[in-house]
Amino acid sequence: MNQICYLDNAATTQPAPQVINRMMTSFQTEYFNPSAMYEPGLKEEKRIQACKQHLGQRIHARGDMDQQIIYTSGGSEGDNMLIRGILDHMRPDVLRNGTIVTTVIEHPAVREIFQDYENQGVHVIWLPVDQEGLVSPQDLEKAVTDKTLLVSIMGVNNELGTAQPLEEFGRIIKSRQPNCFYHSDFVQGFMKFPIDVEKAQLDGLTLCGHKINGPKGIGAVYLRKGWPIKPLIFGGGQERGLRSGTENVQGIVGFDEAVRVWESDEVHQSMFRYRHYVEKTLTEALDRVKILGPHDEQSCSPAVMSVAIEGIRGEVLLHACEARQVYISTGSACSTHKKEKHQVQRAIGLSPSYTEGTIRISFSATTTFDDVKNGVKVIIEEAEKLRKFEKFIK
Amino acid sequence: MENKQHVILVRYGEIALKGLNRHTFIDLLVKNIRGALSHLESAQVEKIQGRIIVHIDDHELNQGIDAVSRVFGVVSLSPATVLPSDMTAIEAAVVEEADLRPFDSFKICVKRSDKRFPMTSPEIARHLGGVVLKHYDGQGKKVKMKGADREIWVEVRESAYVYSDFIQGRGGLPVGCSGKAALLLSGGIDSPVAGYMMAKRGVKLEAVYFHSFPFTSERAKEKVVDLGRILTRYTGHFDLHVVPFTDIQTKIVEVCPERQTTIIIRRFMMRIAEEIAKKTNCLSLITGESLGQVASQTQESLAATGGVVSMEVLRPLIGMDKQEIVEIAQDIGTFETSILPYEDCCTIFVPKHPETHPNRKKIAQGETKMMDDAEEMIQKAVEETETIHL
Repeated sequence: MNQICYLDNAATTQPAPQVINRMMTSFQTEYFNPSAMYEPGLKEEKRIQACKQHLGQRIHARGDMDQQIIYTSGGSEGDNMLIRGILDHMRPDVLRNGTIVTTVIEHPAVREIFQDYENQGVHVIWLPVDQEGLVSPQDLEKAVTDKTLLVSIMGVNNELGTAQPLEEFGRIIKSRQPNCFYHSDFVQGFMKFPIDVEKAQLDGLTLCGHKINGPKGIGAVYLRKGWPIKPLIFGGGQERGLRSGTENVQGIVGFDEAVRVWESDEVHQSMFRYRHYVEKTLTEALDRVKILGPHDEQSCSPAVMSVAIEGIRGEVLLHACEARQVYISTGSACSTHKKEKHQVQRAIGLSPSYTEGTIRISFSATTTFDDVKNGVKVIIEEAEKLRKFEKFIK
Repeated sequence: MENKQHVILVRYGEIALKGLNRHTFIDLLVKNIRGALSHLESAQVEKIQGRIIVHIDDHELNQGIDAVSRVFGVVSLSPATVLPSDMTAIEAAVVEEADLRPFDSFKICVKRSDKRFPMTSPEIARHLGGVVLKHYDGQGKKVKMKGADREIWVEVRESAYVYSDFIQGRGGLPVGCSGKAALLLSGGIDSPVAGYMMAKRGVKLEAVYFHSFPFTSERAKEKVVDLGRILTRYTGHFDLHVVPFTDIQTKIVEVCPERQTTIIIRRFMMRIAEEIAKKTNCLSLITGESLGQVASQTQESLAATGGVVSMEVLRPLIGMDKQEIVEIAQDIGTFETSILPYEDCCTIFVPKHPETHPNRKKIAQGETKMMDDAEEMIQKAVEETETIHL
């Protein structure tokens, strides 16, 4: 058993040993600038191309990956690059008269962008979700019209694990408005839930390295060939001028190695085993517990789950577990600095007494079954203790 | 030493000195200024007649001014040029000072405390005014006795000082001249302001924070440490005592009547704070209470919480509105940290209908179940208190 029991992998993951080794080698010997004229520079350029090829395979993209994969600093930059890049490239009158569509359970990196456009006067349609966090195809059908410019739907939700049927949505969107840009933030889904950008007819996809045991500071976007975007970062013209700045070669090879770690079937099987174990053990040991999100394997990522325990405060349970070196979360780590809490719980119509007691448990390739068993045991014991103070929950 | 150097000229209030031991006061102020400048390598503090002089290299001058302006007891300060009291040198320095910023009208103000200097103050002023006019010959500069754009000051002492900027200090009394007191510091807006205000009256602080992990997080504690650090810019270094409070707090919640929990929790905080205060030679406790702000700050509640200690409880914010407190918090730089959204131990176990007019007898009755081992629990909390030097 690891000394610490880390079950907050949806926030970030521990880099896998293979990733660290690969990056160490790269730091020592692969430090050349990929844009340099001499041969070692060219070698790095080729290395990046090979990593893009590999990444493209994992999302089932077709065509030249060098032209369709762009490396970024991570998920937030990817979402900004694609959504802002597409919309800011449009003529102002087109943007003013058009509609953009997203869901009410997006990560702040997407939600805040849409809010910004809404403040600028762009018409935004916020799609609701049902109690499992799923968008209804009927709602989507109604929302997409010939005025729709862009649709962004989170592939896997970072709190519930809910996976949207992106292929079905792609058919709906493209049959109603073939010219709109279809994007998905797939940061929580990549390598954890199947994705096929061709079948889903996706035009843009956001990916990130540190959620799959890769390093922080590296991500990528898929941008289907033919879509023009306005770059966020101007400069030396790297990534065909779409994302200037010397390429993060060590991040790129680390990310690539992380993808390889997750290619093993074993990782996926254990992930589902963990999820089922947590669900079964918690609901048997505690009353008034709800496992949020969908329960069938087709509609959820095995790597992340939210549990609502009535009669406790999630944050206090988090700290109580922390004292025993079990690390869980109460929601999106990226938004704990913000005051608008519990957006997802509100969206799925969870009652306030359960919302207050929501915790998030998430796994990665370095999680062991012992971690999960120990973690769940601690969560149950601490939750029982905290329920003594139930009457004081606001 | 070069002939010409930049210094900070520090003024302390003559009026504030009345009734106090002047030398002790000044020595303490010098010591506090030294403390505030200890992070700057070049700063040297010197006491001269009626002023304190900080010798400091140019590259640290702005940081030095910032630090000194926050020391209580300092009324105002000026970055100045110091040079030998020799008229030729003074003339050059005055012209240089005048050149710093554009102006249409000016005035030369002179203070001569070195009576050996061969000219009187009005003579020096007239002479230097002429020098400046000549320097700007043909540019239409005018001498104006009232409402001049620039006032250039010359102080003739053993050396001469030339300056034209006045920076307000914070006034008050040097920290330490009014003894020590223990501040009950939470993560909120009020208690840091209370600490600031008492330090301004010369009180040296010890701070006490009640940590109820896991109900309050490590981040909540870190926030209090940060608030304490901000306060040290004004108060000088002090110790923050972090009291492990979970056991006492949860026991109160379990065994005492729900309506009274807030009051009883506060009574225990006062008892523990008093113990720590005694151990650290404090004469009083300081709280950030303001009358009527919340249920636990009614007259009855204050009596019920203050009544459990024998020490004086200083409540500098008692008659202030929240907005007034917020304005001070913004001014001293604690506000932004105070509003970070981490719980403090005063807000985690809030009864749905708290007692607002507690009867002291009833409260004492309400806490009887606590009193069997209260002394031991308090002792244990005091012993296990972590002290962080800020």
